[in-house]
Amino acid sequence: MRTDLYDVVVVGAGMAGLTAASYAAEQGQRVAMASIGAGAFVLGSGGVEEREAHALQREPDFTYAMDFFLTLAEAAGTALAGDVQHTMLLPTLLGNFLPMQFAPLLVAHAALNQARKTRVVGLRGLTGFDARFLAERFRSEAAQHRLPAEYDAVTIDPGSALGMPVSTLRVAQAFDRDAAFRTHLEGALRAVKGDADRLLLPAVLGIESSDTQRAAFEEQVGCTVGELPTLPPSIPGLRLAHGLQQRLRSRGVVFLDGYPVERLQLERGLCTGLHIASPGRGFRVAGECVVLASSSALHRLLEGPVNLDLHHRPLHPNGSPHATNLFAACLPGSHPSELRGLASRIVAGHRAALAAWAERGAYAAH
Amino acid sequence: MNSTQVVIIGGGATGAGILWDLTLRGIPALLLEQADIAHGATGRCHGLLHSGGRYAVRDVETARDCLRENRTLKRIAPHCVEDTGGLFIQLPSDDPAFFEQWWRAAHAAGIPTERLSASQARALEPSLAENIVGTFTCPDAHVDVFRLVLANLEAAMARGAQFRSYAQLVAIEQQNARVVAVRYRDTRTGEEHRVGCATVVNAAGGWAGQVAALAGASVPVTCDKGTLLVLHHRLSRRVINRCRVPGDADILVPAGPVCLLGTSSMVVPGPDGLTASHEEIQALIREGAALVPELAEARILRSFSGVRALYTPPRAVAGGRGASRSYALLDHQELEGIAGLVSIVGGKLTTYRHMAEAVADCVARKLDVHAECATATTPLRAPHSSQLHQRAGLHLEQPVTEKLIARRGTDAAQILAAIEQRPELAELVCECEMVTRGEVEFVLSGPALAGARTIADIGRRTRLGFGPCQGTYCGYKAMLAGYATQQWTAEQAVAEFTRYLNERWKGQDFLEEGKQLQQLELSRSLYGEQPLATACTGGNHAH
Repeated sequence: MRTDLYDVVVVGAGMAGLTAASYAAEQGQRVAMASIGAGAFVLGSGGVEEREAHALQREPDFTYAMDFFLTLAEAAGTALAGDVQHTMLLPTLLGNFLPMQFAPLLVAHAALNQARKTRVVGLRGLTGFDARFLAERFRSEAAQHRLPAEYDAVTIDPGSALGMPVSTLRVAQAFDRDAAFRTHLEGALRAVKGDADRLLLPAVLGIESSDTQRAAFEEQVGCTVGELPTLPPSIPGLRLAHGLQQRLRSRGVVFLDGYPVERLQLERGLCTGLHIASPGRGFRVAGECVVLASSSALHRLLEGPVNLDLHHRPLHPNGSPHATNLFAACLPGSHPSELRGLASRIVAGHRAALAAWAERGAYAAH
Repeated sequence: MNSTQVVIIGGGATGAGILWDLTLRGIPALLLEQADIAHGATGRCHGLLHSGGRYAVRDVETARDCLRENRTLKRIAPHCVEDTGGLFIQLPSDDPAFFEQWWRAAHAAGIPTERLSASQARALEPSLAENIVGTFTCPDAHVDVFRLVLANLEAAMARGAQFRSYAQLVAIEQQNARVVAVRYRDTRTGEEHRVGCATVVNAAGGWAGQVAALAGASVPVTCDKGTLLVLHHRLSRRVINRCRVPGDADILVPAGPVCLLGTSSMVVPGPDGLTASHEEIQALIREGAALVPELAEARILRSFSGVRALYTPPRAVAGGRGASRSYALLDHQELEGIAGLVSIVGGKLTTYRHMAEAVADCVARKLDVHAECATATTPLRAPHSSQLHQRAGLHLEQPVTEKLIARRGTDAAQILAAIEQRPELAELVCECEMVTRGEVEFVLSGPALAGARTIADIGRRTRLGFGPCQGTYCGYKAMLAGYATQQWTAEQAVAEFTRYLNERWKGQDFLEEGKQLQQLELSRSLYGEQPLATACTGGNHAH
């Protein structure tokens, strides 16, 4: 059977896995990521809620892990705005304002702030986004916050090339790949801008495009442009994941996508390989260190509830580690049914990768 | 409307069946439901159309009733029934004597059945456990309870009958010990109404005792709670029954794209505020997995609980599975001297039509109407023309067309006409159940006979939100449709959607990991503050 050998194998391609793999890759290690596909959280808004950030502040490495991730995201062209001191009020699809600590740049542009007049822009044919409804809601919420902010609504035609009904994915892809579409959109937005000092759009401004390209677009439109995360597929989460993946590829990280890790090969206290089930010919990968960064893989491969030791190694019910080179990217002590967001995944992925890095070389013999 | 002949209380299968039966006999009637269609036991059961097999050993009369009604319903309401067939499975731990006894009893009741070897059964249903011993077939089926209730209501309303949802009964007025009127309150607007009538039929299921009490009468019911689980896949093609003395978690019913496992049985004080414990859910899964091992791994979409209202006169031993599943028709004139009040309690979904017939016979006698019952022979829905398919095909994908016509019948023509006018109405609002925006608008504010007033109401009429997303996305789009058609203001729409999501997400706190939990996280990040349910549902309904 074919066996591929790496310094680190990360199982799971959600935000925890991407963070862990990024940390290892930034240290110059040879990394493989094994997953059945992208994590579900890439469908989310790509931001961190205030209450999650507050809950995580008791973790000693929270700031360190977030700084690592923020630097990484910025370098990937998909920066997050925000810091641990200041909370932003960001609009949701229900027209509430949700306290957030971090958010993708253009999502942060939608924050409830001193902007005098905001125009919510709908795209004709885009399902699940009603500009009139949102503007009405934002008006009444802003009034509750005693802000003299005005909101109104307008709908533009995204052009017939996108077909009907229009999906966020189609618009975002057109934004990435079709210069004529970008020009059309710029023109349409300029035309409806009027006296507004901010336009608020459904989040559709590209998946592959970088922040620099979005800033240039905003420049052309001539006023602040904010994005509102939509029903899935939600572009800001996809954009962030895409940026991180591209950066990992450029660092030589190998993606083993599409097939589940079937089982772990555990011998004499070491994880000596992972069996990956692909149709016809399964294969094996091995890493000096293995990081499990998917909660479903963790449950499936290790069977049952998982506790971790101080080195972030999952433990048998009898209290000893499954393997000395096997690490888990989950936060100890948190009940699995607690709701977790992006920051928990970042901290967990960072911590597991750090533990694996600290223990490297201990297995040189194997 | 200030007066009618008969007021029926309770919009379950029985109440809707009574409305239809009376209407066919030419008796004007009004049905009042405290919430929406199938709010009680009807909407919280398996949707199993019994063949009688489950009762064959213990109660041959009930088994015969079930079999006859099973055949009748397949005839008069084919659009509500998926004729899956069923299996009775014997496991090694089950009493072999019961298995043989079942065979004899099924023959005595006239239930068509075949004996299959374990390997034959597993060839039909590969998800069955490897260690099954023996199998019998039976004509069990799945019935879409919401569609069945709606079919009865709409058939009756098309002939002039009246239906009010969110109508809470406030009083039953009497003069000289004779019912003369009822008063009810619209729980969504707060308005109170009075309707004069000669007869009140109490078909309120678990609430029958409370309704009777408004007239100073008494209906002794015991509430027996059952909890069911909705699972993400269709794990079998047929209804799977365990062939033993009926117990917990021994029926698995395929229902559309999902399947339902149940039930437990536990006597509770009343029909409101039901909860299912983590242990109860674990026990259901454990028992069910003995029949179908995949259940242990299956993704649970939600749990829900309902009560069977069992008639328990003072002398009877109360409650539980031992209590009779047959029904009782109480004439309060004979019992307590209150003229014009009749209660129907007990019974089961499968025999709802037969119960309705018995009630309508009684009411007709009182009103001196001599028309015979016609519900066993009158189809609930007029046949639609084949042109409808062709016409729909111009605008909709074929599976969307099929589902639209199955749900709406001849009404699909009106929805198509709207889509022809406004092509954007062809948008799929609910992708799991393939519900178009046109259909949502039709049931919400449009010409639908028994129109929807909430997002959950739309679900009961279209199955919107019954799939894996459980309304997280399609519920939002349905909310926007309600806003766009000026059903709700923006504030009302948000309140409506928040209520809907909370209800849908109840029964999820047993989740520990996996896809369904991710779904929950996603929902929160999309909509912000969305309080999580702390208890399993007593709430809305099945599927």
